[in-house]
Parts: sequence; C-alpha cells; structure tokens
Amino acid sequence: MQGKDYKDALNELRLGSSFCEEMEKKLSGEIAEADEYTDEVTHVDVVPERRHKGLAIAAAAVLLIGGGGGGLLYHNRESFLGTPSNEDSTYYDDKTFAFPFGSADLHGMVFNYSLGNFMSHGNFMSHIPSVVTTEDVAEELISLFSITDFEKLDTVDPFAEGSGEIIDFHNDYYYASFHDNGIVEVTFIQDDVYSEFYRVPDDTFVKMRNIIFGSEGLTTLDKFGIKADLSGAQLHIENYDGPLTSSEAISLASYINYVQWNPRDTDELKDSSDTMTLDLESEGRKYEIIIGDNGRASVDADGTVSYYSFAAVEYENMKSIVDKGVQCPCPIEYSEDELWMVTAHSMERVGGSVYGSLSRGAILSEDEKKELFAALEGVEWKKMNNSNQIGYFTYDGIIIQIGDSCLHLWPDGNCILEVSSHAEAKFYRIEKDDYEAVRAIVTKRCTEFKDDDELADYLIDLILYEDNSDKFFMMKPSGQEAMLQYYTFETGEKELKQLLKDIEWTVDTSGVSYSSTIYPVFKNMMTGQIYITTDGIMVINSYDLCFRSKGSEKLIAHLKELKKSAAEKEKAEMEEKTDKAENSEISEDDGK
Amino acid sequence: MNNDSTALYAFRKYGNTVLRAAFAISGSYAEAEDIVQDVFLSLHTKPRSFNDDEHLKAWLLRVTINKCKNLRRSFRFSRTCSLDELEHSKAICEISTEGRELREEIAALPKKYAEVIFLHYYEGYSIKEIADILEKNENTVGSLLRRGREKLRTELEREDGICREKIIKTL
Repeated sequence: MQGKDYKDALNELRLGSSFCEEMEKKLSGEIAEADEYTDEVTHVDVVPERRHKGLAIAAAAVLLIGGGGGGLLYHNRESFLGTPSNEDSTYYDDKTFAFPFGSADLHGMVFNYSLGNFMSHGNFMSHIPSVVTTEDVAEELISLFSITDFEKLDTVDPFAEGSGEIIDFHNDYYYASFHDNGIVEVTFIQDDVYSEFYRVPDDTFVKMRNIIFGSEGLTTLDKFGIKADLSGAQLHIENYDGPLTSSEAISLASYINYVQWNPRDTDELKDSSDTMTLDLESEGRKYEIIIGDNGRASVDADGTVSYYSFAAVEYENMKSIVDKGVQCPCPIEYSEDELWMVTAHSMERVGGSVYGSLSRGAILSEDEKKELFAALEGVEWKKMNNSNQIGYFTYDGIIIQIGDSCLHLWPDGNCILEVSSHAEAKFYRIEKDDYEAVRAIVTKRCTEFKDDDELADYLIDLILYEDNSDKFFMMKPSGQEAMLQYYTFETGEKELKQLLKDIEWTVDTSGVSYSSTIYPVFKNMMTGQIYITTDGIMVINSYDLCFRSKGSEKLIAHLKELKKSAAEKEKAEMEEKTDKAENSEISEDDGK
Repeated sequence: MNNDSTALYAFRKYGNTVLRAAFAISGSYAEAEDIVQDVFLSLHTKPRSFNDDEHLKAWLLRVTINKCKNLRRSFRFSRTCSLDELEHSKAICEISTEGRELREEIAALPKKYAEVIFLHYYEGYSIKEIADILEKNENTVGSLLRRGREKLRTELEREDGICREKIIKTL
C-alpha cells in the first residue's frame, strides 16, 4: 500500500488552538509533588490481565497484587473518601446523592452501559453511547436512589446470577458498577484499591436503565422502517431455533441499528452460504429479517419484501452475538508426562466489607490429575466462535496449567484456552454447574496443597523455561508503563533461575509494599514475568500468586547489581554514540 | 531538550502526532481527544527524561497505544468517527475534508490492524521496529499489516464515496 493518502487523511486532523492553549496552560503549571512519582513502583503491567476495570483502577491496582493487603487496605479508607462511609448517611439534595459508599454529583455524570462479564457480547455493546445525565435525569435518579436500600454484603457471590448487563459511573474516588442481578460493585481507586459490594432491590437496575437510557429500552430495533422490540423475536440459525435472550436482543438491536444497510433491487441472498433469520411482530405486523454471510439481507414486512446490502464482515460479528457454540470434546488432553498446576482465585474479606483479590495454587499428584481430568471430561464443552473477544472481567476464576497450555475458567461459564506457543486463544462456554464442580476440586487441591516452594519452583521453571539460550530481560523502571524499555542480558538466565530456585518460598497474602523496588525479569513476554521486590516478595502476576521468602538477600543483591551494571553500560554506550556523532559532525565540518 | 518542561515541549512538538495516532488506533475523535490529554498530563505529573526526540516520540506512541488498548470500550464499535462528534469537539479541527471517507474507514479498522497500519504507513517504522514496539513476533506483524491492508481495501471497495476510486488505487 502506498501510504500517502493514509497519511494525508490523518494529517488533515490537528489540535484546535483553544485546546492547545488550555493544554499549554495545564502543562506549564506546577509539576505534581515529587513523591507522587516513585520511579521504582511498578505500574499497570502487574495487574491481573483478565479483570479490566479501566485505566485508573489498573494503574492503582498494583497494591492488590498477590493478596488482599489486609490492614493496609482498610487502614486508609476513611482518609480519602469524599464522604466517609456510613450506612445511615444516605441523603439527597438537588444533584448530589450520598451513596453509602460516597457522594456523587449525578448531574453531568457519565453513565456507561455494557455487557461486561458476558464474554461473547461485551464488546459488541460498546457502541451504545454513554449518557451524560441532564438535570432532569439526575433528579429522577436521586428520587430512585433515595428510596433504594443499599444493603452492604458480607459475602461475595456477586456474579452467580444475572445476564451480565452493567451500568457504571465513576468519580475521582470510586468506580460504581450496577449489575442487573442487583449487585453493586464499588471499587475505590485512590490511595488504596479495594472493592465493596452492595445489594439493591431486583427492579432497581431496570428502573435505572430506563431513566438513563430511555424507556424505549435498548432492545428496540429501528431499521428497515421497522420499530419493534427485539426481545420477543425468534432466532433461526444453523444449530438453534428459539427466542433471543435478553442480552442477545440488546446486542443485536444495537448492532443492527448501527450497521449501514443499503437498499438493493434484487435478491442476492441465494449466494450466501450461511444465514440468520429473525421473526418478530410489532403492532400486529409480522416481519422476517434474513441476513446472509455474503453481505445481503432481505426484510419481509407482511409479505412485502425489500432487499439490502451491508458490509459482509459484519455478518460474523452479528453471528457471534447469537453464538450458541458447538459441542466439542474436552479441549485439553490427559498427559502423564506434564506437571499440572492449578490456581483458584477469590475475593476474600480483609476487614469489614472490604475485599481483596487472592489466589492459591497447587501442583497435582497423578491421582489428583486423573480426578480433575475426569471432571473436565464430564463437562459439556461448547466451542465459541469469538476469537476476538476481550473486555470480560469476573472474579473467582480458576486456572489449569498443563505444559504450555493454560485453561482459564470463570464462574459465568466462559473459558479460554491459551497455548503460549500459539498466538491465538480458543474460547469455550460451560454450564455454571460444571464450573462449580471443577472449581470445587481445584479449590480443595489448593487448600490442601502445602508445598509452596514446589509451586514457586514450578512457576520459575514455567516462566524461565529451559532452552539453549542463557538470555533474559529486565524491565526498566520507566519501561514498565510503556512496556517498551528493558535491559537485555545475553547471559545469566540460568544463574538467575538457580538463585530463584535456591530460595525457600512460601505463599504470601499480605500484599506488596508500595515503596518496594521491583525487579521485573522475563524471558519471553508471552510466558509471563517474575517480579522480585526488595522486601523479598516474588509476584507472578499472570497467576495472581505471590510468594515471600527468607534469605533472598543474595538474589536481591544480584538483581540490584545486574540492573546497576546494565544501566551503566547503557549510559556508556550512549555517551560513546553521542561522541561518535559529534566527531562525525566535526569531521564533516572540517571537510567543507 | 529546551527550557520548557518535557511535557510542554513534547506537547508542542508531538501533540498532533499523538492525536493522529490516537484517532487511527481508537477510531474515535472523542477518545482521541481524551487520550491526547491523558498522555501529556501523565508525562507532566510523572516527568521522566529521554535520550532524544526519537526516544520521546517512541515513548509517546507507546503510551498512546497502551491507552488506546486500555480503553474500557475497546472494540471497533466504539470506534465511531461521526461528523457530529467531530463538530462538537473543541480539541480537534479538520483542515480539509478530502480524507474524510478514508478516515471513516481507518476508524472502522479493528484495533489490532489499526496500530500496525499506523506505525507502518504513518510513522514509517519497519516491521522489525513495530514488532519491538508492540512486542509481537515479526511474522505476526507482517500478517497483521497484510490483513489490515486487505481489510481497508475491502471496506473501501464497498463504499460509494467520491474519493473511493482514488483511494483504492493507492492500496
């Protein structure tokens, strides 16, 4: 491709002068206090990757790595909340509502709608525009919340039910996500990061949704001259005939409304190899919409048929929305030769209603492997056609690692099989009951497993895997945010690995000190990173696991020395390069 | 680099580059506007030093890419570059409208293609350099580039715009 037009098209965009003036003012202002920037503190890349809660949470969530943080998390709570938490403090004024978890100005608040923990749909929903609340909407919401009982939960089982619809908003202090199952998840994002959970009456979500996003609802199809509620539509696809689910109706309605449909004179659906059909009724009229994978569609309105074209690539996306999956065998194979490692993640109480993220792991014996494999074989697996999905998040997942295959399972039934030697992940869906059965086995194994050091050594071997190279990398402090800069060590990986394995590690759940210097080492980004702190903690963020050691001084001194010498070497090389460049300029000048 | 703060210097020198990268990758004017603010304010509040302008620019692009990736609404269908959105933007101006249709197609590209296409066709990075920046295998970057280009071409062929023929010829 010649890039000229591409470049020209982008070059036609530029920043407006008023925006530039405003930015220049901001950037000319006082720099934040020095202690806000701690060069050694790690950033987003140690956040467990599967829970996406927005950048602010991600950046701060390092505090939760490896454990709940216990007192540390709870300690500062009152100090930074705009309104101290008080269950009896609920009040309202014109536009500010004091939730039990903190006040929020609801006028001008941005509300987002998503199907966040429903993997196959979440991302397709993102074109439903966010709503900035008007004064009237704010008043309606305040009226609703003022009669809503926010029950603080002592136990977390937030995602057991519900179809995954979420409405969220955030302010400087917290993200609040209202789930359609009545659970409100509040994640505080200032000095410390932790979550609280509340329950509101079942009908609150729908009322809130109708106030913010309109009473016509999100399931309204408004295309082809049809205005109808898709929630009553019947779907016919290759392996399914039946009604659309609520979340499918929302996704599909917004998607069909979004796609550009161009009227055509002729029926070209016959050239399609796959179709999806929707039958629906509205105001006494019957409609049949047939959409083909060749980018053609027909719409039959009470016998009057019209034809349309659309971008054929959209078909796959629409099909993914209603993807029911195809039954398949267990995606992993039993292997006697490979070690099996499992982890179980949970949100656990660390004080009051404050929860921390916690994982435990285990290496399985042969009998335990057989028991788990039998359970996995008994699961009804469905392979999903959602290879591009991201954006899901949920808690209480489990991981089964066999060789370089990593199977993630979550309570909502979504599963991903990642093979580190392959670029693409495979997606599966299982029933919640099946998940619970597998989780029960994994949790039991993790609870009973006592050899933390064996688990740590397994993870060290997994990340610094055996091959012919002795090369490894260490992320530079400034590179941790940009994921760009790291020191390369051509030799020394085996020595480092030995030092790591020489240490006796025990699983740690007390959290990582914010002020620790962190040495992130890795061999291949795909297989993960090992973070060592000067407090003697090893964080394996891909698995939410954290280990503490005694006698790690030698390792830390080694890492410190490696980092120092690498930085010095780099500096010397840079100076040499600069000198050469200057000399070369001088030579050129001399030659003139 | 000069007497201004790094962030101010960076904004003056690379503000438009970051804007264009953010738009090409996020596919949304509104998101691009937010990302521009985020990137430079982040540098302002957490100053750091750079070896040279290229180093600074590479860092800005890397952070821009990360911020695009981290957007909560991170799929192509949040990637709307509606004119309405542009007209309401205080931050972004359109110098001319010639490339408007192509920009719509750029916005519609899935993010994984959008970032390699931008780095290659706008910034002129080689496949190897892109692989380093994105920490992807070179073969993967090559495939993404090829598929992204094909996707862009396919989309343009479907359009009935005025510029269609002219643009397709360049693909």
